[in-house]
Amino acid sequence: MFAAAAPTLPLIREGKLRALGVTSIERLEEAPEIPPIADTIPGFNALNWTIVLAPAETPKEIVLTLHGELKAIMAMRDVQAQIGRIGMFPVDSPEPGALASVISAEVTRWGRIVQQAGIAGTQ
Amino acid sequence: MRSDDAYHPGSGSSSPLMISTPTVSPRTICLWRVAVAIVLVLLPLQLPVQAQNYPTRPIRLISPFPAGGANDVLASVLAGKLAERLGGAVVVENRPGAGAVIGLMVLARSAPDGYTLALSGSTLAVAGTLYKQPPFDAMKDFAPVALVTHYPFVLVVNPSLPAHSVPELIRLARSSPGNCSTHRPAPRPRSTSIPSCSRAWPGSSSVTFPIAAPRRPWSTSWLDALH
Repeated sequence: MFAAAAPTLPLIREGKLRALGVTSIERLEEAPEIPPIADTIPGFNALNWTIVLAPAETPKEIVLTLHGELKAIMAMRDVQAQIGRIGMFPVDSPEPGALASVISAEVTRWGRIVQQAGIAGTQ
Repeated sequence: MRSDDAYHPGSGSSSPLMISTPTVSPRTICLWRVAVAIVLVLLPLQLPVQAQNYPTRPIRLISPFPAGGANDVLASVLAGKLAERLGGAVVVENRPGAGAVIGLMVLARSAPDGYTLALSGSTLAVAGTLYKQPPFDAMKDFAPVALVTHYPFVLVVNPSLPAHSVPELIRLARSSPGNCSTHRPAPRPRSTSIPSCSRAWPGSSSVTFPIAAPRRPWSTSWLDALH
């Protein structure tokens, strides 16, 4: 099973699950003993990411206000410690204007993987 | 024709308009022009004023996944800090379903006023290809605010499985074709970005199916479904 670290790490520690690998190239800070799958399959790197979105046409000033606050929040040590405990890494976000190209690149990348997996248009 | 004439066709002395309105003094016209100019100058200031007062009511942060999962935990952390810094309430609203598509559809249909936000995952990038009728356009329906985290998945097995490492799991999968099944913790396939094991190591075969997320956060009762 490929599972997010947050609900999985406690079960691994209790011995109810056995961890074989993480899908990132980096090891988890909270569980450095779990090796990257890339150690066995070179180049294996599958990261989920989280992004805060607003509806299209939201006033730019509000988007910039929220962007600044979120960027400051993700730089806080206590926040980084909290998200580290659930197996996440903080991201120093690009400006809102640059995020469209980030999303576009991810749409292209994962779109290709969905096509290759033969599951395009199956939902 | 001079360029001035082209832009002011009614300004010539023979214009019937000028002849029919002799009572409007140049001073009145000048005042009107000043008034219109003031309005035009002030109009663009409306938005910054709105942003300066933001927020004036609670902000809704949609977590498109069940309570207790990683997305929900992160949403709670962000909501708490945003509320402190903005001086207003930020409420997390769990809207799970269809691999986060339900929550993102709610966002796409919300008023673009800064009072509804969502914490999306990579679903945003796969929905357009995965669905026959894509529920939203990742590039057009949303205003991206900030990337906040990235995180890997952990490949886990039932401890009774005779595999203690990825190479051992690959050997096991190859030695018993058809018996390797991978599961995803969502009501419908969500983590389509994760290749199933048959793709990861050719020569094995696999079955991939989703299992329902636990009803109670951090519950272990669903472990029985894993193997």
